[in-house]
Amino acid sequence: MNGTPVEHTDQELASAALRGDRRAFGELVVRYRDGVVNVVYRMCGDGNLAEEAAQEAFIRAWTHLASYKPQYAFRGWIYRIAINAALDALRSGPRTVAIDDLPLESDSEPPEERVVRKERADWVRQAVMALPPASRAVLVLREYEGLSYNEIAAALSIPIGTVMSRLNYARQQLRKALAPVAQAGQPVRAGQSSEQSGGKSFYAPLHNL
Amino acid sequence: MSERMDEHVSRWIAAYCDGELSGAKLRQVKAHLAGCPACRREVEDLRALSAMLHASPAHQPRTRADRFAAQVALRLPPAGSLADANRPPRRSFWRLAWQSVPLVLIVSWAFIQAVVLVTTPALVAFTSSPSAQAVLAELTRLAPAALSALMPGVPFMGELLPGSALAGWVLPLSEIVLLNLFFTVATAIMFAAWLAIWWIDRREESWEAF
Repeated sequence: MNGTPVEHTDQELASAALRGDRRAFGELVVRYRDGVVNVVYRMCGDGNLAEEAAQEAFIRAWTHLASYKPQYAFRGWIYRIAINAALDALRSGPRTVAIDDLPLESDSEPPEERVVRKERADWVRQAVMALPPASRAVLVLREYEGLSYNEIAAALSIPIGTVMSRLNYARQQLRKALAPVAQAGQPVRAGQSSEQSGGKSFYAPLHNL
Repeated sequence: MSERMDEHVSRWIAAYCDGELSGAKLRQVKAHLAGCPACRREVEDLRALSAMLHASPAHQPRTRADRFAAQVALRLPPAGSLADANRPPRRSFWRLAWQSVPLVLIVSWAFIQAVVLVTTPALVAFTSSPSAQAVLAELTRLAPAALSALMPGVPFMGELLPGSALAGWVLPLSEIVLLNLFFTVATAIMFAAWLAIWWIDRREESWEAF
């Protein structure tokens, strides 16, 4: 017998938690803390609200564990709760001034670049926040959490066609909102394709950097 | 329906970028992209947008994961109340009644249709025979007086519709058709209204479930 700890599945932990096992639930909290905090943050755009609302999401998950269906991914289920907790926090909580939302990744980064980077991040965050909650939720789950269309459909209880249309709408709105950032030549790259196709692209200035 | 090779694949580009395509559709989109600069630009734009979205960094939690879990654990309600909260809600009488509305509408509509279907041919056959016309004429003459004696104060159909084909003894066919049409339309409107309320309710439930 080796000393390797047994890795329980989400379903096993959820089942144990449903029987009142707080340690099992604690393991789920540790497992999904980052994801839930990030979903809440992307939905409410406020770092100070995010952790409080994330805790609220886990408490709701604990009290509604019976509604979790083990045939679906726990991740999608908890993210849906997180989205609702974020929207509730937005409705009820006072907005705080998040001075230090942006982590300082490098002390060696020149202050000017840091300011530009923060401005760009704020612009993106505001554009995301301007989306209707239903479209924002789909965009956050796809772009930031990497859920597949199927997983998003299951998490939000909507058809895949609705996932695609909401995602399409969100991206169209973002393209409009972020056009000035893109055309100002901010140092953002697609990263994958630098192919110049000859025509005028929405993000053409980016390709020329 | 599959697109021809010379048609753009705009509706599939997002799914392609998101890695949601496979099989023949993936091959079709790839083949199209190889020869279509406009669609390749679409792909580049989507990827650039995705990169730009990630320029906004994720929130870095200020508490460690284990400390966060401990804080959550402190706020969890006790197991006893958990059992109550996790018990499936009992369906109230009114909720069941509300949910049975479409069934009641469909059954009553089907019942009326069955009655009309059965009685209309019999009525037509009955009223078209000469002997029946004579009997009806006699009954029409006698019936209002008899019914008025039985139910004083209640207007008889013959009085309400003196010019109708059967002079009040039975409803004329056109009225049956009109009434049936009215009932069908009313049922359809009620069903559509119920469906609309149910849909709105379901949307709210799906968002407010937790």
